[in-house]
Amino acid sequence: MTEIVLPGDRISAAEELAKLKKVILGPGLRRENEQVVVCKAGRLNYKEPNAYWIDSYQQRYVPVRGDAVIGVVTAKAGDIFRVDIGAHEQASLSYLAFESATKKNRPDVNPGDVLYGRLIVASRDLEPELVCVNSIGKKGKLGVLTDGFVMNCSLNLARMILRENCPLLRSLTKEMPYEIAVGLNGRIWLKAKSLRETIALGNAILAAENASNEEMSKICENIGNILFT
Amino acid sequence: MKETPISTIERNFVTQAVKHNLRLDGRKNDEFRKITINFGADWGSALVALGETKVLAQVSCELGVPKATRPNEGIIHINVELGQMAAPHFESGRNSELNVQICRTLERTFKDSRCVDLESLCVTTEERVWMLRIDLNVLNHEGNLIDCCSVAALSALLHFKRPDVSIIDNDVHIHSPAEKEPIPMVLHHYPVCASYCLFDDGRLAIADPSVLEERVADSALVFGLNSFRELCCLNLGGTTLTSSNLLLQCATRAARRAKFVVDYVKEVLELDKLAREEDRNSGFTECVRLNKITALAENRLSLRLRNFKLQGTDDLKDETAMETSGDEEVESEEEDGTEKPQKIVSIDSKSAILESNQSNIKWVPDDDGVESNIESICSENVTEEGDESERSLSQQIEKQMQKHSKKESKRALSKKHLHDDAGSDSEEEAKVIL
Repeated sequence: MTEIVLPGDRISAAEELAKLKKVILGPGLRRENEQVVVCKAGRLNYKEPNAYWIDSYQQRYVPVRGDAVIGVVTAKAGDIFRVDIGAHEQASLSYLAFESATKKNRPDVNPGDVLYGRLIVASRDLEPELVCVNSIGKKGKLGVLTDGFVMNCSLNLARMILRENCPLLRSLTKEMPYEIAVGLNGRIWLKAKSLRETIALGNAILAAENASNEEMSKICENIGNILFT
Repeated sequence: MKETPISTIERNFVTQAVKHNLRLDGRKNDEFRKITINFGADWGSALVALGETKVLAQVSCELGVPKATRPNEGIIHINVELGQMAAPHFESGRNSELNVQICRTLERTFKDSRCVDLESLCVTTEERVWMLRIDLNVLNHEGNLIDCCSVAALSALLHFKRPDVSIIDNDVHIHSPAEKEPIPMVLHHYPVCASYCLFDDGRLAIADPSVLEERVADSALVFGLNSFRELCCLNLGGTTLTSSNLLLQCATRAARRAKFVVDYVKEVLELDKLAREEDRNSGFTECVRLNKITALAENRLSLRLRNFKLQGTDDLKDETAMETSGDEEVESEEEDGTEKPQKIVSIDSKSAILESNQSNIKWVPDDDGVESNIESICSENVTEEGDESERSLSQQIEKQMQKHSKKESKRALSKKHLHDDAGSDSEEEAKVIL
């Protein structure tokens, strides 16, 4: 069941639930005293047991703590890097926020490089801050991305790809081997064996934006057919 | 807002792809995007979309005092507006470098080539002339603004009609359209621009660059040409070396493109005229109602394979066709017109990989910005036929290259053969077969 809501609407279901237990309000919802008010137009979603959020079409990224994003390094300024993540302000990234980086052993990052990082500070009054390590100091899958191509897409598409039940990437793996990094800021890094395959991959992903699950596998097959005929 | 920085991997990817004869949006190297033209209800307003690049043009006129040096000629003013609506990093109200460049290129193409008969704009010598103003408002910037602006300016100029005047006792009386039929513009020839971007140290050229390609490219090459293959303006900016061979081949292709675009503009004008004669509704509101003007001109995917078709596109087309049952004829004709570029391109399967095989080519270094603008008005005899006209085009360019290397005066004064009236256009075009 999906319900379309507009800014100013009240979500009485969430208010009722709040009387019994803790309720999590996701993007697009705001609490004003005892009321839950919508602040974005879109589809209302509910997830068991207690989470509410709103899905809306959006292109502009607003930083959220904990998001994995793709950014472009624009400058080296002393001991931090400035990274463009498509938000209202550039994010900062300390040179010590890389795996096994020390004051003597600086990471090799240059302006123009693309990196996959995680936001640890995202507040409306502060500059966003990125790191390229996880909580135990390992790089995991974060860090500088080499080769391939970065494309822009809507924030919804990026979120959709990362959803567990999304069949898109699974059906694409049947067609070709590839590497992908999806930033929640609406940037996707792709790398396949050849340039043509990379373009095909991007084409399939962008075309799947408004497709249903069955259509997605059809698009992927179609791409495979064009690519290898 | 700042322009989003371009990353090294994007840069590498685009240059590599171009070298492998691939473009991100699935076009061939010498393929232009689809162009659509819609006219407004007023005279002299046109909305031109080149792919997703959109420009709204409006021509207006008022009476004014002519310049002292040219007392019997009207005045044309071209104004390009680059606002935040076009792209978030543009600042309106401030003259950016791009703004000046587009303005100057258009001035060279339209004013310096003397395509508009300025003397016909004279009301009384030394006292009153018509002052034309071409306002170009960029609505969306997706690359190749110059081409789009030039087509918009041309179609708006051709669409424009100025009110008739009569002089009674030294007093100018302007007639309203109800009193006297407005007078259309007199154009001697129809110039448009065609741009190319050069990659791989000037060995590769791609037509109609997108934003990303424009930013990555080594240099940009803009030709202003009319349908008689005459060069009105040539602009070479950037840092790469260019072989004369590539330049010539691009020029030949650009001339073919110019002819196609001008033919298309004429065709659309004809349709508009027909619609007005039959008293059918015309103008942007009608276009919006018929789904001819949409927020996105086409189903756009920034990455796209050549043969890929987004499913559901066909259904959409059917829907629009059904909605517009009243104007089926117009619709179908329009579609024919827009299909043409693909045909022309597909005939010529050779892509624009143009390797220079001559080692003794004199390279023309682009050392300083001011001198890099090869500026000239050239119009040779146009009554020549077929291959001769092709040769004349190459002569024009070679002449310019020599001029440039010698760093002589910027203006090449050449024989001018201007047509007396636009009516002879069709005859001339029949002769110049490409």
